[in-house]
Amino acid sequence: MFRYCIRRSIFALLVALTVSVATFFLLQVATDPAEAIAGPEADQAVVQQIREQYGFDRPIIVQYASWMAGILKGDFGQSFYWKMPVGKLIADHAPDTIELALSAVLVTIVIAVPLGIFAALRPNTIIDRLALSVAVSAQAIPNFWLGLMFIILFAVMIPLFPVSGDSTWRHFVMPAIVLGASSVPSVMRLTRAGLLDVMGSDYIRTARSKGFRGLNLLVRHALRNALLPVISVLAVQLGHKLNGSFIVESVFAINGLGRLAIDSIFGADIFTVQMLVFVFTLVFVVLTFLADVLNAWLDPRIRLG
Amino acid sequence: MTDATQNQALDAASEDIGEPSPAAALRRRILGHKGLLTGGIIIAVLILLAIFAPLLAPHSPYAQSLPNRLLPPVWVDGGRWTYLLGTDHLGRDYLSRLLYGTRVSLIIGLGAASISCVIGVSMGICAGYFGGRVDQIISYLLTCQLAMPGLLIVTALVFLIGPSLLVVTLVIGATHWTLYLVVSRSAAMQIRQLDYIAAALSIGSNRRQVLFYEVLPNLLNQVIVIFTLEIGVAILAEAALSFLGVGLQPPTPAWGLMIAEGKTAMFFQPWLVILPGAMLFILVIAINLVGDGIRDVTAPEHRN
Amino acid sequence: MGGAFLEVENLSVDIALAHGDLHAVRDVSFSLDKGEALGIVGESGSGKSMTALALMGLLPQTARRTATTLRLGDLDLLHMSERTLSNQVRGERASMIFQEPMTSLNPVYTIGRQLTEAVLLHGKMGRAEATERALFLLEKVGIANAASRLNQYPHQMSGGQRQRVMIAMALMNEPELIIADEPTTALDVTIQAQILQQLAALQREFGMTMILITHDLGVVARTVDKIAVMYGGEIVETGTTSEVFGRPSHPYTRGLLRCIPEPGKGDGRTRLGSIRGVVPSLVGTLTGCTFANRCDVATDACRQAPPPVWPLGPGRMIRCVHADGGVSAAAPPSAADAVSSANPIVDAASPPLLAVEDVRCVFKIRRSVFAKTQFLNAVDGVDLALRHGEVLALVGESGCGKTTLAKILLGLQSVDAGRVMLDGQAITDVNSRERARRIQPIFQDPYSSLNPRRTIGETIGRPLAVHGIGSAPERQREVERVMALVGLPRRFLHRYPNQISGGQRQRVAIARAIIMKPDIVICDEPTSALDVSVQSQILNLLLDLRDELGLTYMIITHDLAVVEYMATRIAVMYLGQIVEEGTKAQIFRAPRHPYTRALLDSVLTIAPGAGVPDTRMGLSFPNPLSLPAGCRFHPRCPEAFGPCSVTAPALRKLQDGVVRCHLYAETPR
Repeated sequence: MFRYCIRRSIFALLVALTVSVATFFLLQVATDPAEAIAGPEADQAVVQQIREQYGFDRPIIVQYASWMAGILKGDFGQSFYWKMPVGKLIADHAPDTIELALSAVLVTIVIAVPLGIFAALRPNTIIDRLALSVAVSAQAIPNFWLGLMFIILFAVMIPLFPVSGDSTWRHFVMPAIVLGASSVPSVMRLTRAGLLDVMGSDYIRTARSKGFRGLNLLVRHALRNALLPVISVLAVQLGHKLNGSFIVESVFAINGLGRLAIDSIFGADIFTVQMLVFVFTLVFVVLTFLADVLNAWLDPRIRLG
Repeated sequence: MTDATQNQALDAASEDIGEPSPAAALRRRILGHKGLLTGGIIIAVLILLAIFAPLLAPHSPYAQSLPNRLLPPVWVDGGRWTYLLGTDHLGRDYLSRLLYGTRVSLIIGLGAASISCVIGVSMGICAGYFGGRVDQIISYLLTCQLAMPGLLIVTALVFLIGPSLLVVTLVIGATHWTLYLVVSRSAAMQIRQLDYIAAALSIGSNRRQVLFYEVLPNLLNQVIVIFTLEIGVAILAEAALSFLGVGLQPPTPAWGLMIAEGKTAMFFQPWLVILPGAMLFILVIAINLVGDGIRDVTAPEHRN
Repeated sequence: MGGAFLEVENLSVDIALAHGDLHAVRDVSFSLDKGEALGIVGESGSGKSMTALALMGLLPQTARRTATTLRLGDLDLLHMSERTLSNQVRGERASMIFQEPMTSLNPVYTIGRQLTEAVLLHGKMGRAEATERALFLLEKVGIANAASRLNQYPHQMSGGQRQRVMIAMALMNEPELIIADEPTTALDVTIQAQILQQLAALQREFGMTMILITHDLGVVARTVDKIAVMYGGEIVETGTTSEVFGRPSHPYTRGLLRCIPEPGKGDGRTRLGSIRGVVPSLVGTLTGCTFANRCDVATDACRQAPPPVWPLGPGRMIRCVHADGGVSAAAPPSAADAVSSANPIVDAASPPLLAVEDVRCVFKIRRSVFAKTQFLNAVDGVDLALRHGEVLALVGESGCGKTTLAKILLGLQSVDAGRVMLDGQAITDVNSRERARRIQPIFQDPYSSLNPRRTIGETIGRPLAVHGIGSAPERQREVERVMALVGLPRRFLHRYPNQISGGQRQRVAIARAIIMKPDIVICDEPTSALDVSVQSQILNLLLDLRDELGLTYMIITHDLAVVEYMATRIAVMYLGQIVEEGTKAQIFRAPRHPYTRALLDSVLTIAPGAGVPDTRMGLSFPNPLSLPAGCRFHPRCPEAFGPCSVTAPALRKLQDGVVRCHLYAETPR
């Protein structure tokens, strides 16, 4: 088990590094960062000055190495756009995003998992068809549009929630629902398919022949096997929520990392964007790593080999 | 073999078990699948609207008419028949813009889905069939791609390179290949174990022949399902980019962009936001119905 | 019949399908006294498993069950609610054992927990007592070190051990009725004998009533008292085992018995019989006798009305239009039946067509990311020679390496040591196309050996297309010629595999193999996946083709009856090594190696009342990943002595074969 954890964490680190390298190169290649910073009207002298000031004239590999070295020392760079250390920027904006992401995953679990379980227990009935229709519809709704619809309906027409902002928990209800709704279809289908599979398996038939039935059968024999893969998926979903929240944050004017990312992109603030990508990736691989380890520990076939 | 035993053998072997051919069975299942038919009809209508937009649209989607700005749809007070679905903040006819928007969505959807299909399926088959080192490398690339904050990078790239139809299509296509890879890899791995692959190798087929003649036809169904569903994903991704302002730029009639432009006026003229969103919803839901329908009719054992 | 313990009358099961109702079980009636054992015999699709599931109320949701009577003792099973059924009957008064031990246990719970929950669920005893009972039963079913097993998980045990656990689990609450559905079909033959013996002994000891469901006539002849033969959802004949096997009445029973090769009885002269045709569809309305289309003595009356049931004595009945099953009307065996394929003249002095020299193949296995890497010696120093015209049978159970060896000969697997010579030339020097022209395979599973997206014609003609032989119309003619040779009608050319039966698919596989006119055909379990009545068709076809086309076969199988019918020479493999080799006559008359003897003893021939022989083998199971010191077979060997656990025996050449055993060592003990 210990060796497994070591191997997986090395792997995770490698992935995070690869992604950071790829992004670094991609962003530098996509455009000339000095020109992007200077703006379209600046003349060449200003562009050249910026290039030297931020070290864009060095070879890319050197730039990457010094950036990475900085991170290891704890220096996350300075944002020229926001005129603040990048580290502080991220720390300031993170709490809102974390709160939003966790609530969204909660919404997903509360809606998708029970729906998936009910649909699997009564395949081809009304409940099943309803669940599948919900899945198909939810997959087709653009989440930014859903957000705007929610605002029109529940903030303007029926004033239940505030329109935008992030001061109270109320401000997070609609954004959490909108953000969580986008992954309800896949989690629901996964739960449903997994449980259907398990219910049709031979060991469930054995359990029934021993006298198990109904809720007892479901809880003791079926759910544990069926929900194992769902855990991994939820970890991935949490990761996606964390780094995919910027549309929802835009619509609802929440000051999270997503807003920071968008504004940084528009401001051509390459440093902040690179750092954000790195942080997001790191968080994602840590989450999947934890999910893998949890999975391995819960499944005796992997734990005991 | 004597005649008697040959006849007995023929007798023994010639009974029919009465199963229909795969093509006939497929046809039967397609015609019986309501979701597939509904979605198919909707998509067909939308494709026709896109193709014949110039003929159907009452105005040019770019024609501004400031005296007629922010007119509501005809069924609301103040609406006019000349502008059936109202106008936007520059007085452009919404109906015409919506019709032309169909083209944008379909082109980007098909284009991006095709690019990611080629990338994902070829990598997936190689990983699944060859296994070993090749699989390890490709799986590693897959993990990296999954770990990347996709939409963020796409947004950044499009913004930096410069938004245009081509750039949007390419960037979305180059980042959405993961599902293709996962599905074709797992399918290739399963197929590799089957005896007809061993038989093909035993009769002297080389690797290329095995991949194209034996493996590919058995993957095609699943790939088509993913392709269909990914068209919807690409369309929504483009809409999100346009909404943020990094996708297609004004004055292009793109639904996501129309929602963004209508956002500021949405409390008093909600149709500016409702209508384009509804179009997106209808198109993507029809695509999803068709995709799910194809999955149901080509692999009924996977359903339910 | 009021006194019977288990009474079933007019049981029917219909399954709702998209295009009609499948009449899986039709009008089944039988009764059992307390302590009796009934065997329900039938091929796939006969409805035997559905009958058992119907009794226990475990049918799928789409199934509908109807019956006049379903009574177990004083319980009316027919009208019982699901709740009462689970609380009082299932697992308590009636238990069931299923076929697949590898998937029938929950992988995330320990063995101990799954055993004890059977009693704890029914509230029969406390936890401590339940554990005691679990230990007691584990030992009774033959699991060594029972105490340490309680905390193990299913994946840590072999298939045979898991099935023993299933039996113990079924017995936890002292049920009165036990139903075993193909309990040993998925297991090796030597393990099968041990488990059946144990099951029969337990049934007698605890006085349980047992229903044993199987397709294997030998198993049923030796383990039960009464037998019911099922075909197409109906019971067509019942009686005691000696009655049904000694004087079979129904044409299906008679046909079935003719299809089965009998080791020891065969003299190579009598051709196996077969039953022509396929089982008709049981969907929708059915008219007439279900067996009519395959029956030798069918008349018009048979096709028009459902056949009546004739009682022939106490507990004996037959369902047929003819009161005597048409025995008197049956034609005498024709001359064609009696002629066999002549034994080939094999020139023992000629150089071998295929020679395997000290071949080794090692796999690196890591069962999961936690486990250490282990080495599996799949093939460990094997020498074989195959001469023109021979039929060499490679016999062994799971894990012995025979499949790996087959893959090596077909070029699908590389060797780590040793070499394979094809006609004197190293096979690695022969290019794959040339090798394909000379060696062709026939695989076990007719369902996965044909590409489902290619027509029959395309599949059979593919070898010619790959090698670029002939033009398209010439290839077409070849395909048709070969199809006629294997007995496939021309109209199958444009059919797909899902439109033809299993036996027909196997013929397609054979046609594909012979179209290149190979010298050698390697058959990997060619008939194991087919029904008994179809197996004999394929075996006969293989023998005929050998005579006509001058083929040489290597047949890999675990089925000794097939070996006896087909083979000229036999090689026995165990855990990667050849332990004995010799001519058929020598192996069957005077087997040398204790494993060979155990194998032969494990074959359950149709000998009613003879009981399951005791092979006297030890209970440990062969684990290729942890080979014992010394002789690999010694932990299970009834004749193991001193040197067996210390030194591995070498292969010794005797005048009519080879053997690897200390009992035949050259130096005195």
